[in-house]
Amino acid sequence: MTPAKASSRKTSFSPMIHSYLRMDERFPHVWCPGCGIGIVFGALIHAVHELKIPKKKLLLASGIGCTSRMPGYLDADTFHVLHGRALAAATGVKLARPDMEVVVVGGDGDMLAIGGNHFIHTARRNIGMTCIVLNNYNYAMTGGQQSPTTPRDMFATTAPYGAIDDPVDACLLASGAGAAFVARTTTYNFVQLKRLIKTALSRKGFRLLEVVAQCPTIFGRLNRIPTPKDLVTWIKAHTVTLEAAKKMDAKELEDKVVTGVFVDREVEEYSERYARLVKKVRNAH
Amino acid sequence: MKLKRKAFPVTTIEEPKGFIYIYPDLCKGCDLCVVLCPKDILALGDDLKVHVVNPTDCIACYLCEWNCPDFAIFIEKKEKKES
Ligand SMILES: Cc1ncc(C[n+]2csc(CCOP(=O)(O)OP(=O)(O)O)c2C)c(N)n1
Ligand code: SF4
Ligand code: SF4
Ligand code: SF4
Repeated sequence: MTPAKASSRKTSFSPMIHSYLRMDERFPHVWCPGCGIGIVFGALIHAVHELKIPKKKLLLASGIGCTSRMPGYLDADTFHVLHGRALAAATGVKLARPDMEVVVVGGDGDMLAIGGNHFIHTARRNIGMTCIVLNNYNYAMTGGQQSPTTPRDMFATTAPYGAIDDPVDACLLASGAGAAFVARTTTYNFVQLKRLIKTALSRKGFRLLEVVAQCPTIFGRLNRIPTPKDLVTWIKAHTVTLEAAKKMDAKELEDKVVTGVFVDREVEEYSERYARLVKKVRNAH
Repeated sequence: MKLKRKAFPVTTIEEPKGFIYIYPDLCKGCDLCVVLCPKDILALGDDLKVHVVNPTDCIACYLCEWNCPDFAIFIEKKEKKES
């Protein structure tokens, strides 16, 4: 191949995304080549930028896992707490500082296994935050154990003959618990991904966005789809839109990822109810 | 704590529709931009970094930029001249 000659143009161009990153010795980031986490992170930054959310009003929180490394790279308020406890810690922030735009990110293990209880109850109370669950179908950081979302018959280090459990559906779980906004997308569809993050950020109450993302290094290798391009193609091949899914039967939908908005309703934010209560009690004394 | 920003070198390639900026030190050679580019503009070199191999057909569609997990490739569209 013959690479094109570099232009001698002196440029004043500086990428918008880089201005939101802690662009120091931390870069390049730790994620593997072709990992989907960077794509979700990019979409989140685009969404925040387009909605003009000031950095000072933004909090990105996480627990533990590959996905949970994300806040470490964002030049805004961030924290990184115990495995599974990000929603609980973020609840504290939202109640103390309801003016903050709180975003919590985590893997399927962090949010649905060890943090599953927090997930249900944060959704139930409709605390005002955007929760992004990055579903890569395994515990990637610790080497690829089966997670609550590993599909039937797919491989994990703890499922060497294929998973026999039925996976949990994060969107159904959040809808059942009463979340105000519930949607799912994949890293293959950047435009939808960015749009859904923007919608989630502009709603009230608890908003869940599940993003099916590729983990080529662990999940991909264990399932013989080791390259990023093959894994995103695999995700794309298993994706159907909510409209298309309505015309399909349960058997056809068994191994499919249904994308779209499942719940979008108005609720009163918990932090508002909480502030009212504080006022009432203070006035009574 | 004040952030000490590091300057990463950038390669600029001019195309009729715009400019492609590549940060070789950030690129991990994952191939995603190469595969997703609809016009076969990009390819991985022997150094396992992305390079522009077709400097005329880029349509500035941003697919490479959006799908790069490493924030290593960016597109700047040229402004349309008023006619
Ligand atoms: C209390 C506790 N238990 C177990 C661990 C070990 N551990 C670290 S990351 C992780 C799983 C991460 O999986 P997931 O949340 O799906 O994130 P991913 O790495 O896939 O992005 C586990 C079990 C821990 N750090 N803390
Ligand atoms: S192990 Fe998987 S999820 Fe973790 S950084 Fe690598 S590709 Fe991404
Ligand atoms: S902007 Fe579109 S056409 Fe141009 S290099 Fe990127 S993906 Fe290819
Ligand atoms: S997507 Fe990014 S990291 Fe991957 S080859 Fe292209 S420029 Fe490099």
